[in-house]
Amino acid sequence: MITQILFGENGFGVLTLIFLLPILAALPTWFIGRVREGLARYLALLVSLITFAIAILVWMMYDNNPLLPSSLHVGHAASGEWVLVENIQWIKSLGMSYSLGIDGLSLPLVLLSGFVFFIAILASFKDIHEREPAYYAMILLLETGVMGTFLATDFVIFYVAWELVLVPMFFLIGIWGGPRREYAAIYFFIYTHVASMVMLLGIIGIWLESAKYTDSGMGTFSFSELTGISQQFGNGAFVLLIFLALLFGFIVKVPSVPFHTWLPLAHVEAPTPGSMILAGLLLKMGGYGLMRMSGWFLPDALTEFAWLVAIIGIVSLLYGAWVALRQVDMKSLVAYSSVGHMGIVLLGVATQTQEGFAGAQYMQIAHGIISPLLFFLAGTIGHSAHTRDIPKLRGFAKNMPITAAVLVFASFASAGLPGLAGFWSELLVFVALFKWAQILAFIGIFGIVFTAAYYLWMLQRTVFGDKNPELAHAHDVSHWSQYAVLGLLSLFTLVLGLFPDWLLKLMTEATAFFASQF
Amino acid sequence: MSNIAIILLPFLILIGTMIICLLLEAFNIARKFTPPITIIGGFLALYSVILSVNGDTVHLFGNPDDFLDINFPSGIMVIDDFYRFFAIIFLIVLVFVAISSSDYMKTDHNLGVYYSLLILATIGMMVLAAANDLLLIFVAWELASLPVYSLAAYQKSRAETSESALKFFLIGAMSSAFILFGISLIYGITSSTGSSTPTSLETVVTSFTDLSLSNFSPLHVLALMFLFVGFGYKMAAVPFHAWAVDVYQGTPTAITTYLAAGSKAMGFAAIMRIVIEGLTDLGEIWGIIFAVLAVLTMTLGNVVALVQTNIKRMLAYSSIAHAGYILIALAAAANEPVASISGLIDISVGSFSIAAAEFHILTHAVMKIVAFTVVIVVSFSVGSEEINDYAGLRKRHPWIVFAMTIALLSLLGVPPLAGFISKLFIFFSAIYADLIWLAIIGVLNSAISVYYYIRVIKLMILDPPAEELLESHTVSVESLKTYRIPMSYAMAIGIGVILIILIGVIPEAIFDFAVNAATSFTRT
Repeated sequence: MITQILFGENGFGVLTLIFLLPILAALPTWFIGRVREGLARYLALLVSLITFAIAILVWMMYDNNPLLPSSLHVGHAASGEWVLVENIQWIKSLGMSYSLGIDGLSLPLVLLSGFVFFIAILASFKDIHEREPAYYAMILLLETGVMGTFLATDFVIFYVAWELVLVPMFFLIGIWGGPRREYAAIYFFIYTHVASMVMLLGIIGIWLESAKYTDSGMGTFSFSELTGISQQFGNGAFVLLIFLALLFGFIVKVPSVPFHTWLPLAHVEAPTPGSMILAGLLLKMGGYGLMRMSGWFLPDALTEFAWLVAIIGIVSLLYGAWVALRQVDMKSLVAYSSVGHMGIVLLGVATQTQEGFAGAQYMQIAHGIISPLLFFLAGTIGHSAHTRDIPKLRGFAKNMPITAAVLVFASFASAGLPGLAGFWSELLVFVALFKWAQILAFIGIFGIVFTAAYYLWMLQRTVFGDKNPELAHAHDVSHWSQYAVLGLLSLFTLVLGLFPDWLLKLMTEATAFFASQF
Repeated sequence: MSNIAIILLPFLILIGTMIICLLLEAFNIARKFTPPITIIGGFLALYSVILSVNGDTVHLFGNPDDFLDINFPSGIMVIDDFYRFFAIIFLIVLVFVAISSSDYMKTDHNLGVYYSLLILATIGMMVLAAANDLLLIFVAWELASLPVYSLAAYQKSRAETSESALKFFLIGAMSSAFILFGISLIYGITSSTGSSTPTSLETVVTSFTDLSLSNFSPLHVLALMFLFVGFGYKMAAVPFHAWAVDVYQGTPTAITTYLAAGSKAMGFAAIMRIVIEGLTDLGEIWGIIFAVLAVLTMTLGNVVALVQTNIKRMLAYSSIAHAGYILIALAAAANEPVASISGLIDISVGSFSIAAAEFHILTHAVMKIVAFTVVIVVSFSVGSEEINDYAGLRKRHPWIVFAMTIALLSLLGVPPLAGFISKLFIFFSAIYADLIWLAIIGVLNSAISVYYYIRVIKLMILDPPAEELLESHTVSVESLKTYRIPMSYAMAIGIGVILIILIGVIPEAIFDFAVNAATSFTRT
């Protein structure tokens, strides 16, 4: 019975639960919050915790964990296959179906999403006091969108979930954001919506192109069918056009230079938990899309355009780091560091090797944990010191010792200190890059150097030194939720740094498949 | 489906309802009873159409010996899925407008006449969708237009209403003249071949089918041009759009809903019947005409909508832009390849694009119904139709703001709402027909449109209520505080929002029906 439900033999299974539980809980959360103001946050926290727990259950099922009865094991997935697949026809005449599944590429991201949403809701406890019911409903709505993007195995569902993210994020920035929130929200919405529309054209294009190769002679949106014919797509002009359209949609979300301008604005204006989700997960959607498309559907087109992806990646890395040096607002600095780090993801994918891909994916997860931590710190500092301007924060360690300590830790992690999460991804990507194109690796190293430089300089100007007298009122973290957020995020940063094997093992199947495609 | 009375049941129900409304007027009890009777009648007619969807194609009134014979292979009316699809749209619009009118018109006189005109116009539109003869098309066109002219002028004490009604009437009369002239030219062409039914669409098709691109006469082109212009006015396609904005703004909003959702659909029904069914072989010509019209219409609609300050004008321009999207699908219909991909198109040429167009006409109607009904509510509650006065509306009417947000997001094409699915189909059809450039222009337009929809959402939800709002209005503070949304609007808006979400989440049945509708009539 339970096995049937979990495996979705009767249609909907455990993945649907992850996908739809948050959105179904959004309206009750809003109602309960209207009745009793304080309850919305606990309900939202509970829902996100349950979602995370189910994601962990899925992980254990995928991993054939001995703690589970063997009837719940999915067995060993074949390379390039999805497991726990649910497939329900949606619009039959166009071959669209409601289809969810999980594989070595999406599972780590689903786990990350479950975790980051839980953390973001915790982080909201101290920060958000205005219109709480609507706020938590929006967060849950957002969770459905993010989860759906990673779980979807049908391009239309993928797109629906992808776009679903925009609306709650628009409101999160627009209602609970900083002084220029309305401008930032509209800017964010228009920018990413335009990119999505272009992506939609690419999706339609892939349907038409796939019709040439499927057995039935009909186009398909199904990921597994597209994977099956991925070697036949070749690199004709139309395929390259599709690749570019999809690539545009993805790199705006990533975001890469020159399409990054929405990010610092959105980050600076978004409320702290919003920034955490934005950096931790929304950017990963772009990276995930890029990996999925180039490895699973259009490998030949990636081979053709690897130089383009690599150049965009390296420019983002250098430009992001370079601009971050000059930032005054701490949130803005972290935002530009995100641009740089996501550039490494592009570089990893461009190498078309197992190491590069594993490094890229590792960067997605590591950055998905470190950047929420940094944004939370920046938000906390801003909240407590009433400023996030780096020059004004001189010597704030005296008043906020815990925050300062974690900031040092997180900055080093982000800069790629060995033993912390960020290190392994950079190592893997640069190993691959040296094999693939030495000159790029050589240039890219400067990006890493700059990254270390701006973090050190930022630390030197803020944490240490004589105390700025204006900071007398600043106080350290005190609420239990803040301790929980800092503790959990730091813990995982450390764990991912010390035991990279856990994560790498989880995605072996995906990385091997990626490499086999070229 | 054997009895002609059953086939024509929707018409009979509507005619009956209309007569009852008029009788009630005579007995002076119209005020109380006509709105529910119209709603019930419209709903019954809708139900009787829905019961017969995906049904047979029947030709009516064609047999000269037995007028009521329904097995004759041709006739001046054809009851097929295309007719049913559009009848459903028209009847949905009728029911919604009747619901919101029950409050909107409550202070006006002669309600029996008002509702019977509404029903009469709907009958005209339905006949138009079923017409298989140019003359019947024209008669139906007039039958649908004349009542709407009077409806637009119904609240004659308001100066701007009278002005816009007059404008509407003059432009409408002119467009009718264009259509009639086009028809007479076609009559001239076909009757010279000695046909006994010179205006039936089959004859017209044959007359145009004989032509190849090299030997069509200027007369054919001229006739086509006249028809395009005539129908273009009703569709509010650029460059025949200028009347629409003023008329939408000046007309009582309940009737604006009817114009935006119903009349516009009628223009498309007519042009699809005549041009696409009739002229498949001249596809290259009208395909280009449609493509150019589409680009002009959506670009102008979207760009001008950006700077509007009045919500009705903004929605009017958005309506024009959506007409442009629909025209994309019509342009694609001309270029759609012959069944190169099996499975999707095991149906005749052009039918996927036509289905996309029909689908968008339906979703556009529903979205505009919700949006305009919200405009009515706000105009009573806040006393303004200026976009800026929507600021902070969420404090006063959270549910209305929720509904408006859904409607605007759907107009914008955000999944999983109805507007997304239909836009997806339209871009799909364009790319399928190898009109990638047109799809890209469509996407750019869609991008432009984000701003003016989002601006309204931003004002309603993000902005605080403007303090000076109270002073700048004629509405007193008391009435601002105590406006309770009447049940009728709440119902119309609520059902509309549910429809928008449902069509978006489970579109399959409707889309398959639209494909059937398109197939049934492209095969003729």
